Amino acid sequence: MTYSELQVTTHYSFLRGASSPQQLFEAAALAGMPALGIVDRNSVGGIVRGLVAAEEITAQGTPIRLVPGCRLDLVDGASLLVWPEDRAAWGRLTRLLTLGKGRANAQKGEKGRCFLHWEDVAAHAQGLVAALVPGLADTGDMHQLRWMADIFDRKRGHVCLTQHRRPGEARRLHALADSARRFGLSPIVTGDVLYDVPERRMLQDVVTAIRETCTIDELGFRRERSADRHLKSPEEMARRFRHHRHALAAVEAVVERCTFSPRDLDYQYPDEIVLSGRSPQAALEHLARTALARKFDGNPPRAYTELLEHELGLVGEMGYAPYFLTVNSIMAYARAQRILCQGRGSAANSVICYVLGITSIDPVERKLLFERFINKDRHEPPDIDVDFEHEQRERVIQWIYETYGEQHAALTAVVSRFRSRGSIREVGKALGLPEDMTAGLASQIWGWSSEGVPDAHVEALNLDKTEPRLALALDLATQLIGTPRHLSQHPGGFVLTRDRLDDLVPIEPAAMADRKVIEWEKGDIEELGFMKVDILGLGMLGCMRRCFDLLREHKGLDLDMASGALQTDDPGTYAMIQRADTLGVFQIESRAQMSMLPRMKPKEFYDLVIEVAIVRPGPIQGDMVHPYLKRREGKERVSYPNAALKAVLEKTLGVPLFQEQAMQVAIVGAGFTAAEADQLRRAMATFKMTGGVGKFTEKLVSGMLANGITQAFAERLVKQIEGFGSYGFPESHAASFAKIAYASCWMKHHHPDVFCAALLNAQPMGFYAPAQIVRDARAHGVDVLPPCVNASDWDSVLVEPSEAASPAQARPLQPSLRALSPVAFSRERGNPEPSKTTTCGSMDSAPSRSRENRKDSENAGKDQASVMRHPLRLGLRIVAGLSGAEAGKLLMARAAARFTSVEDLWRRTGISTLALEKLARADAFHALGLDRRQALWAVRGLGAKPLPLFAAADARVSGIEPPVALVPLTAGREVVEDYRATQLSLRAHPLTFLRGELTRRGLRTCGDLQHIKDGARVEVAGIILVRQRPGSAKGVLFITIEDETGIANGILWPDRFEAQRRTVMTATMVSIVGRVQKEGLVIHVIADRIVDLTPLLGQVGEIDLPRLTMPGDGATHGGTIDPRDPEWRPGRIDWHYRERAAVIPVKSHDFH
Amino acid sequence: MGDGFSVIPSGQHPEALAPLPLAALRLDPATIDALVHLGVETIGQLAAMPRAPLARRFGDALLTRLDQAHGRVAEPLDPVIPPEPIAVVQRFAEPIATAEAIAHWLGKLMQHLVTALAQAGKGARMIELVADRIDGVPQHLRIGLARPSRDAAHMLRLITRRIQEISPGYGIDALAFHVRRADPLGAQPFEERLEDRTTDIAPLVDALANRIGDARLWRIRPVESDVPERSLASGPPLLDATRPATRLKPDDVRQLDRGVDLHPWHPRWPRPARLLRRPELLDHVIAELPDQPPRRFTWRGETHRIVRADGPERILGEWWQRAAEAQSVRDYFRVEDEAGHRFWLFRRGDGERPETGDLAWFIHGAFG
Repeated sequence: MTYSELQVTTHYSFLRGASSPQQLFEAAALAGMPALGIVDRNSVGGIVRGLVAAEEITAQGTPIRLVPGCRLDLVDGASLLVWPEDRAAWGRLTRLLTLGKGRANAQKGEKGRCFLHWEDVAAHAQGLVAALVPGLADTGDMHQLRWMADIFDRKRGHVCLTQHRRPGEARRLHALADSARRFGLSPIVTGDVLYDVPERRMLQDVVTAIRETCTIDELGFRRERSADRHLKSPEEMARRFRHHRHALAAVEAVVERCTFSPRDLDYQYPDEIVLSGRSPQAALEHLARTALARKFDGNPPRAYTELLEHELGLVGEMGYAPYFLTVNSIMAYARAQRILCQGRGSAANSVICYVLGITSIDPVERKLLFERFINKDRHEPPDIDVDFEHEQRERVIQWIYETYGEQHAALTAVVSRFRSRGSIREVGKALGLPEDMTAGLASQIWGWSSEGVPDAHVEALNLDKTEPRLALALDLATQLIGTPRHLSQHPGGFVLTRDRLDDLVPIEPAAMADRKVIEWEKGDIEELGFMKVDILGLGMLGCMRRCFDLLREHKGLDLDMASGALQTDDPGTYAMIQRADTLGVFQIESRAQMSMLPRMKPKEFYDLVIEVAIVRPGPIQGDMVHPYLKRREGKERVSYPNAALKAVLEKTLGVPLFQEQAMQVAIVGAGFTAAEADQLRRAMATFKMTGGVGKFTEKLVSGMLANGITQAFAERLVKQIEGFGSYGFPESHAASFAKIAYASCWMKHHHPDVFCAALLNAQPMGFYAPAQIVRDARAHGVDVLPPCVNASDWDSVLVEPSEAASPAQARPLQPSLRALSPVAFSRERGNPEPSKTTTCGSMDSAPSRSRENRKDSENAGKDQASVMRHPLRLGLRIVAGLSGAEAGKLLMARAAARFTSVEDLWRRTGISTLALEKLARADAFHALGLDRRQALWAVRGLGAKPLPLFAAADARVSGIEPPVALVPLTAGREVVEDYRATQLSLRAHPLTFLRGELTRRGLRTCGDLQHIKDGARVEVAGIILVRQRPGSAKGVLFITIEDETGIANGILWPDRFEAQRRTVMTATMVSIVGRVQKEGLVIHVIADRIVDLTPLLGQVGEIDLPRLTMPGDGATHGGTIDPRDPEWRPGRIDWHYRERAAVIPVKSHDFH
Repeated sequence: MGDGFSVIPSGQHPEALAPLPLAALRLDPATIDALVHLGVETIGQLAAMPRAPLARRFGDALLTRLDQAHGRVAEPLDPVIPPEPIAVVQRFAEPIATAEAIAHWLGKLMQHLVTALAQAGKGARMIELVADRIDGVPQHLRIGLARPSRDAAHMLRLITRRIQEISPGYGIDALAFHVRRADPLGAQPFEERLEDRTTDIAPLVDALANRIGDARLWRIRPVESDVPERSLASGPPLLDATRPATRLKPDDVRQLDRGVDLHPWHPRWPRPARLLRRPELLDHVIAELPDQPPRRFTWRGETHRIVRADGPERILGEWWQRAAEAQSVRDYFRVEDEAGHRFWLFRRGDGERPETGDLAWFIHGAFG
């Protein structure tokens, strides 16, 4: 007789179980159990993970099976375990769970809960094997037993006998078995397992404390009172229950009876009623051929027709036609609504997608490959992601729900897990550690790392790591990392089915209204072979649409992503890219990209594709980038291992850079079959974790040798393939992104005013903050005007040049600026009169520009003389705390006539005095002749509500106020108030006011770095914009600081970073002391010391500046804005400064 | 000047106040913040501004504070008056010395005391009787009450029981009752029906406490812990007024919950009536591992043979209290020997993993 544990709770019962399915299956296999039943509370979230674990372990030689199930916690306190016998029963279970979860109202804080009654269970009980879970001291509750007996018969209804090791247990179990038999139910033995090994008990207690939101000392009896909840071996269970042999036998009977496995879930693509009377394949063929003919005006070239027929044949064989049709119909809807969209993914490389307009990259011309090694054995659906404009994405999502039906479409879930920061905070709270201690430890942790808190950090905060509670907290926090916390929705992965979706998997409402989420994650869906379409939002597409709209409106140009102007390679645009003048542009704007662009010097579209794909931390470390660059710069001779591989590697100069190339190398060079190459691709994706590529190495090398490749070449190729790991990027993705990158570069080069306005209106997005975007635009000759109640719109708009020339508006000071690129960019316009506050050396260096730069400006002038630069008026959206509704009221009232005074505005718009105060703080009343303080004074003088017109006139006559003289603001204070209200300032950079002091201390400006010799020692100061640690956490830290003349990039080696971690992580302004390193046009400062100068900043305006880091900052935001990176998180970053003490620690904290 | 305060000649306080910051005016933080944003930072600047616009924007409170600081508006201080203690005194023309006389006068005094307490709206918690003797050596007698009380009969009973402690010597000149501690006590209603009277054990507690001393009377209350030594705590003899359980709204789904919370001293899980303060080691224990009760044991020299047993009840150490307890396990057994005595034994360790205990046996209590 053997025993399988049927009542196992994994950590997918959030904050209840303490072990993952993988760990549980391993422990069960070690103990010799033939099967394991996973029953999570009102959820089947862990089933797929369990399935994968079971299959893996079986493949390694120890057969073990998953019995999927669920523990239903009913509203009246009863609990029962259910295991479906077959596919139909599983469908009933998922429908039951969907019913229960659908009753939860997420708006009232019931997210994730499930409300079920006995009647619901009765309605869905057919095919389910059930077991009632009695309470700790229960000998059989009549009410529950009666229900169980009504619903289930003797073969399928059971009562659990579990040893809790409480007094009187033997009698209780005996009485329970008797009651069960009296009601016609069978007793069954379970262990009520919560974790795999006894050592996890402490973690389970802590997790309970977190769930009950109290400390562990106060937990009392809410803790699990029976603590034997680890997996026990079959022999042990047989011994413990030797007086209940029938109950043990019942376990085996259930295991035999429940043969359902999630692999049995059949999946159907949704029906596309596209063309009546035709099958999906026929419909697709018709559509594709018609579209091809139309694209080439009736006479398509042979290459295209052949490729199309070949692809259609493949699609027909694999049955993928409905998938293409679905994506096509979604995009057709989007295009009909004039929403910009673009597809990408391996299937997007096909001619089918090109002619249908799913992508706009010509595969024949660009020589892309479709068959990304489709493994005919696995029958995996192809992979297409569609990027939409960020704001319009919601419309597309709602359309999908309406068209496919709420019961056939839902978003995939994402399981939020504990990471280092959250983990130490929660565990610290549960163990009663003081809050500033846990906050201090958490703040030292980089972004979203998952590596726990090393000892060095603890000591750096002057904490004693041997103190027992603290040591416990650190240990348990490390164990907790990776445990799921709750389900949230995936940004855009949709699952669409033909049959009802809740027959396959439970659906629950998401936190957002009208959104439904399934319980499984993206990885689970792929494992089971469901179709998934990713509906993602790209901020840049929204920006491009705004650009096209503005062009049409102000300059009369009607362009689109598919226009001719954006398809050809424009030399002026590429010249700008080669100068790394790419701030704000898609994908190639980051600091790493800017350092690479002057070396790569892209001059055609394919170069951009390569640039987008390889300038990421992974490929740089995988040693792909340097060999390629060397060959490109001509420092190394381009050679190919053999003639066949030349065709594969020609366009990347003999170095495999893309995933497709790696696999083609395997096929063409080493004789792999398509299936084997696909396995290699999977191994590459996970090699970091399992070292799987190793077993392919010999096969690769021997195959290559057999094909006439030398040993040296073969080994180098294999090393490069290994270096791919998870970094290898598909060419198709890179091409789609490069297309958008090129379009944005073109726009920035030819119409910087339009680009700046569109970029500001599409915030939040991108790597840079509005302050940098505006600075860059001004450096390119765009006139930027501050927000004004009489002239601004909600969005930033272009102004007709004649309007902006009026002197009546009080324009603030505009000192000259340098562009933010490492290479200087000259201005064609003359410098305006010097401001009252002296700026730094940039003014003096204006006349002393080199001849080379002057020549550039002439050329640039020729390009742009034809197209006028429009001034840009900043919109009211940048005013912190102003809502769209209030701005709308203002705009509507202003349509009648301009405002003449604060009171006039208030009476006519009816907006609250709070909103008026925000406008006043943003200096938006300067057109009315009021500076900040005067405007605030006026706003405060308004009453509670606007009085009727005549009453106001009377009130004014009776109480004419004496004039009040307010102290005017200092220039420094104006700048600080600008930053606090709008996150940017058009007047001057804060450091302008400190330049005297800094020069006295011997510091140089960032702009001076160009003129300093390579290797010289220097100290530069600036406000921290961005901190990045690409690659692993052990890597180098890049820090970017900004002063009034430009930026400087500093490099910190890991030991230097650790030694000065607190300064780097928490300071707002620093100075970098180090050596200059120049490589061509790229300048870095290798830092020795970082000095915290934040107290100096406080002197600029006598009040605090807000934190000024950009979204690309790794320390606070996780650092990646690239949706492809696994660490990417979507989300709105709040631009506006909030008056919270926690935001700026100008005084450094001491943690004790 | 110096020592942290300065003397300002009369008429010069505006100049003295002018450089001080606004926070000195006892304004609320929002007002100070708004003024700072307008560039007003010192009292001098504020005083120089016209008053009507200020009043309109910040209210009259600002001007009042300004005027108070400049002495234009009076701001009298409220003194703190200490409460007077309640006491009643009876002086005698001739000294008394007999117990009956003392008891008679105590009765009279008590009535006065109760009246005084009722007027003050208080109930006594601690009363001290002071008897002044002719030779000047006062006699003190203190009684304490668990609940504030104005019940004359009750307090008198408590006092007269201890009358022997007063030695009158050559005679007592005066008797006084001082109320050392009093708590507020509202009006006490008369009871209308005798059946409504719930037993009030406060008088019993008072009687016992005053006889044997306060420290020797306590009540045991349960602590939510499975470890027996920690599952009890002592508390004051009288229970605090129980707080009513939170009432749920009628449409709250938790109304449907039929589950019952297990009281810490659940009748199904009995605990021994007597618990040894320290568990005592047992010898010669024979028991089958891992979870069988012992067959016999020897305690304090006596051997007991077990005929019936129940268990094990597994209790784990509380790892957050002491790190040493992180892995320890106790298996408790209720055993009955041939003579019918029932004991509560435990074994340190679960018998399967060595780190949970050294398998030593102890006795922790006895039933009945």
